[in-house]
Amino acid sequence: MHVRGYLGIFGALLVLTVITVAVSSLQLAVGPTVALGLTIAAAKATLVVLFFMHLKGEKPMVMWPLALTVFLFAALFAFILWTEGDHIVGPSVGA
Amino acid sequence: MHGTLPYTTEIRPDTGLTNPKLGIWLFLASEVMLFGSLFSSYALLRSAAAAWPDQSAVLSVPLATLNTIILITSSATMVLSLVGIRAQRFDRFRLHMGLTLALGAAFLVVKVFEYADKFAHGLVPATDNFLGLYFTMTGVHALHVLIGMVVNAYLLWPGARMWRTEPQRFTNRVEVAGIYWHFVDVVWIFLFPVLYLL
Amino acid sequence: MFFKYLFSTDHKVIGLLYGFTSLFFLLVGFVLVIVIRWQLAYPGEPVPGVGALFGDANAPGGIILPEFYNQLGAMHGTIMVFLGVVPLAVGAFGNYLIPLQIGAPDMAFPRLNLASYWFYFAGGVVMLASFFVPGGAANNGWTSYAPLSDLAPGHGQTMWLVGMLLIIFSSLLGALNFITTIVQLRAPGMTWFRLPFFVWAQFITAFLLLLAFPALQAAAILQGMDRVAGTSFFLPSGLAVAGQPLEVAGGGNALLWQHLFWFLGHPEVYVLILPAMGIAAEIITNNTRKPLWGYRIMVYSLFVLGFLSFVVWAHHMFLTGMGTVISAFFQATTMIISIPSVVILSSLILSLYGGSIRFTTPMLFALAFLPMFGIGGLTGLPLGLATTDIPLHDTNYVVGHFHYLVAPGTIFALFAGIYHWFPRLTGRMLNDWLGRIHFVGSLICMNVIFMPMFVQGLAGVNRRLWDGGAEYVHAQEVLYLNVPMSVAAFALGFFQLFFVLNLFMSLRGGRPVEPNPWHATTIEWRTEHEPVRIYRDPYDYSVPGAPTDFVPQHHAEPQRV
Repeated sequence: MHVRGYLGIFGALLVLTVITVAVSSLQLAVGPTVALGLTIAAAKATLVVLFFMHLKGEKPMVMWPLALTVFLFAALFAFILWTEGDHIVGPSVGA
Repeated sequence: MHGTLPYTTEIRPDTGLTNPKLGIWLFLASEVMLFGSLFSSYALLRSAAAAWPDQSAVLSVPLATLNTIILITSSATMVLSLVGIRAQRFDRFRLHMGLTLALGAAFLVVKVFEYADKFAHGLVPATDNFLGLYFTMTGVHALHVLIGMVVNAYLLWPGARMWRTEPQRFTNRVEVAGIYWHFVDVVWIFLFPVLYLL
Repeated sequence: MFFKYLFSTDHKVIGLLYGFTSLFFLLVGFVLVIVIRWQLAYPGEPVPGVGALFGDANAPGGIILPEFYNQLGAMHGTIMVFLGVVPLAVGAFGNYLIPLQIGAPDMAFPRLNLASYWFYFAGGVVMLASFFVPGGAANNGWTSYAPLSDLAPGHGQTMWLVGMLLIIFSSLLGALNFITTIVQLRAPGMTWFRLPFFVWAQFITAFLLLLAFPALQAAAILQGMDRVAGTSFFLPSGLAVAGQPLEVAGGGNALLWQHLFWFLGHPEVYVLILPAMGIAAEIITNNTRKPLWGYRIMVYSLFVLGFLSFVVWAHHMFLTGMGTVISAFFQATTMIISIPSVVILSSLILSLYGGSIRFTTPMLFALAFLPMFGIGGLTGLPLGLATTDIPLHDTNYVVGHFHYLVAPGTIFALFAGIYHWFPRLTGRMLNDWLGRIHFVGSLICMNVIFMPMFVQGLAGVNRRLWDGGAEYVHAQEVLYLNVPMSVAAFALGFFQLFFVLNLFMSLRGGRPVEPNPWHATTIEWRTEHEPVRIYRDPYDYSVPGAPTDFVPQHHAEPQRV
């Protein structure tokens, strides 16, 4: 990619940063706040990963392990929340 | 000895990769799992908590926004240092790598200031789980920033000698160091909203 | 000269460093359990001889205190798994053999390889040193469950955390090194499906290490913060210790530790078994003089096994109050994961059919591995189903189950590997008769030690009890088993002397042999220095029309039809 391309990505990242701070100042409910915040972060991360780290057009031998990693992270995150997230553990709660 | 190892610098045709390129991505895969485990812990401890502080009231959003801009800029200068060395413009490489290093240092300075400010107000890791996670997660991240800076400083000074003897290998090193540095930026891109804004 | 070996970046030297160090740690771990077994057989009796050495804090009058017993137990497990078996199976065998078997000049990152070893060594030093700090070593099980481990007094548990971080970092660097090496440095002609099964097993193992260990890294950091910085990541609100409410912020979750630990812990047990399967496969095919049965399906099974191993972990947590849907999910994946295991075991057994079997010493160990792994695997089935797990969880049944897999399972395969590859290292053979005595003695003793554990577990005897269950009514009927088990453990130690003696004797005085004395087809046996080219499958034994009953991979002739 040419310098101009990278500077374009850089600009987009700055804009997204401003947006994410602005959105947070709106004091939305928890659900939308989390969803928006993480979506914008994911968009920024995607730009960095695809273009700065050159993952776009990277070889399968790199892509497959990364895909596995993303899946495993999602599994760990999801199962921890699913198993434990709906209750409080400890002696102060119930019998 | 190391020069005789195949595909250290040249690309292996059937995989399309050099050894260091594959190596750094594999390392980052493990780092995704490390930070992923920390984020998972945050998600659990917060969602199951009886009460959770208003994060943006406890922490300084302006300072963190500044740090986000610093780190994003350092990613841009890092990729430009790679553009420079690939264009065989050592002066451009040096300029942008130097900027990357300076921005990394600035990030850490801001973090030190943030931490000191918290401590001065009696806000420490033990205060509650939010602050515990804040200090732990940003601390682990800051350690990674520091390590990245050490690598970048090496490439800027003592390691730069390789540019004259093995330019392609040096260029690949800059690329690999860049991939690591961008990853550190990506982690912060998530840490910022999760710890400060949500 | 010393430095030449200690700081060499040559994969064979590093493999040997791992080998010697891990064998030492296996010995340490074994000594710890010998003391445990004395206490279990003769609770409250002074340990003969060495009892006085433990000091009054641990064993006044040579009688093991419960707190010291717990140290022995926690460190036996930790040292055996993380400092003994895995470094031997992966660090030693993997480092030494992978480049040789794929035709590479060395590992992809030789200096990183050396760093891996020294991080491992440092972790080991920290772990051993922890015995000597006030309060002694970690004593919260090798699993270090919160909140007990969070609150354990003294520095031992904290040192355990530091040691683990060092060991984990070593493993992560090693794993990425192995993967990169296998992907990038295969010699010309060494296509994926010409790789020896041993290399495939190490390849999948490396992915398990790479992606599972970081969860324990994170957990160790969080527990370290709890212990040192006063955080409450794993400490729920309202905890009281010794009647006093704990002065912490609370709000933590002890089960978070278990999830993070077992996310590593389960793949870890496949790290323990996969290299062993790889070694057994090499030795079986070599000593049946025929190719592995189902090589391809075995490789696919490795992939399925590796993948599934990441999504079964909560079967260690069935009793933590999880919902029925989640429990059903983990029971299902746990049952499914037995399929690829059985495929691999069956393929190895089928590989024997029609073979021209040579009962060499390595083959004896590899053959015994098969039924022993079978017993270990089968006894896991009731543990993988939540209902049957309820009475068995945390009993000696579990201890028997996993020891069958690791001891007459993995460790037998590792012994097999040492007997098999010793001539490659030294140009000499280990003594056959000493080897057979070692084999028979170890096989009998291991079964006498671990089989009764199922009986005790089914009777309800909990694991980790410092008196072996003597205080419990339901244990009385099966308590007597502790004595023969312990005697067998002492005898097992005795039979290892034959092995140690054999090693030292044969190093200089063993029967010299020509290169490739086992007439193997894989190229780690070749001694030429020129770069190699591969022309054939890994196990071209008894090829019709060939002049010999084995054709090495790097031989172009005879052409395959």
